[in-house]
Amino acid sequence: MAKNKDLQPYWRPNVRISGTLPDIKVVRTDFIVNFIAFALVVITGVFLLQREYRTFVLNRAIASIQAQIAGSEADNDANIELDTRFRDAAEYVIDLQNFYRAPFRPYEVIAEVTRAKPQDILITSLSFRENVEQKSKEMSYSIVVGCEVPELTILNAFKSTLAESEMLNPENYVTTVVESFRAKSEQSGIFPCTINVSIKPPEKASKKKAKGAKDDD
Amino acid sequence: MTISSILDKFRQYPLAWVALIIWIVIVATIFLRNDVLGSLEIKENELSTRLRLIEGNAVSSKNLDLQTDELRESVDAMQERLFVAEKRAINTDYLYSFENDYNVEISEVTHSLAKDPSHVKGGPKELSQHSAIIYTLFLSTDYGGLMEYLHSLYHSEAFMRIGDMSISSSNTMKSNTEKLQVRLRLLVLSEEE
Repeated sequence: MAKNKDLQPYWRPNVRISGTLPDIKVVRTDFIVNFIAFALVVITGVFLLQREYRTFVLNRAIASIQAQIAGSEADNDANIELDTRFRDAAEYVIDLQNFYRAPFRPYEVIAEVTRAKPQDILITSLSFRENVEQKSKEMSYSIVVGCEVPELTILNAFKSTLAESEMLNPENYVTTVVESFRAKSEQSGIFPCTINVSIKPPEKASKKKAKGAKDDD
Repeated sequence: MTISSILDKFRQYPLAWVALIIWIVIVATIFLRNDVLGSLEIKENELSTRLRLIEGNAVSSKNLDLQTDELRESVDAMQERLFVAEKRAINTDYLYSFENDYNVEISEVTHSLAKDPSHVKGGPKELSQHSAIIYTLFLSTDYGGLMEYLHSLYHSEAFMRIGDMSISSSNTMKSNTEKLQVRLRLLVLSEEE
């Protein structure tokens, strides 16, 4: 017995009922639990109220907009009808613009060729033709001038003048001028010749290339 | 966990339990009414867009009635100047009538039933409300007469333009008085066929 006392000298029976003991922590557990629960309710409640208020505001706004729309519906229908009438009428004018749309008129081409003609050149024929490009579905134009020249240098000068002509180089078109001639006539001493002026929309590939070259500059 | 132990816990934290029940109710309400706010926002957005459109229409339509009336008058006047495809004799006679006013001798006028590729649907100069009648004209004139005649075609009562043109001379075009042989492909705006 004496030996047992020496082995466990400080042990005492615990007779406390812990549930009945007072809470002596600095912040009591009751308070923390209640505080957290209350805070959760308040936060969630505020969130709900905020949403409900937004719903209320939206309902009021919707009612107001619906009233405005209802008030202006008749006017709007009249405006739409008027706009349709205007567009219908405008289509006729657009047709007229489309009908005449061209970079130049044939009589302007004749005048330009006549103006560009050197004195020693004789024009024997002139043709003007418009075409629809198969691929791009855009308009292209060709002008063929039949002529006679005593010297090929005159033909070259005529070609250069046509190639530099502002009228024959319209915007958004590429103009190429090619001359050809036959053997000199032994009797008259003149060269029968032809100048082909081709005015076409630029091909897409060359458009890109030209843009790239511009960027490089 | 028995009922008595749950009741013990409830007795221990009654406020927290009540708060928990309220919280569950609030969360359930938020969850159930979640779609209401979303759909109201979408509806408000749609209605606002519509209202802006209506207001935009009202601004765009200011004085549009006057402009429409003016445009309609111009279109009506324009329609009166159109060729009617069925009136072939009248049309041909109109083309010959230029001989009286200009120094040209028209030897032939032929009416083609073909459609010009530039004015068909999908063409570069598509006509939606009209058609284009094609005529081929053979004429002879001198340089001055030709220039006057061609200019007059573009400024005449009917809406006309030249599609193709070929001018030739038996001699060279040495002088302004030399006779030129001219072939024209003339396009005349007409009522839609």
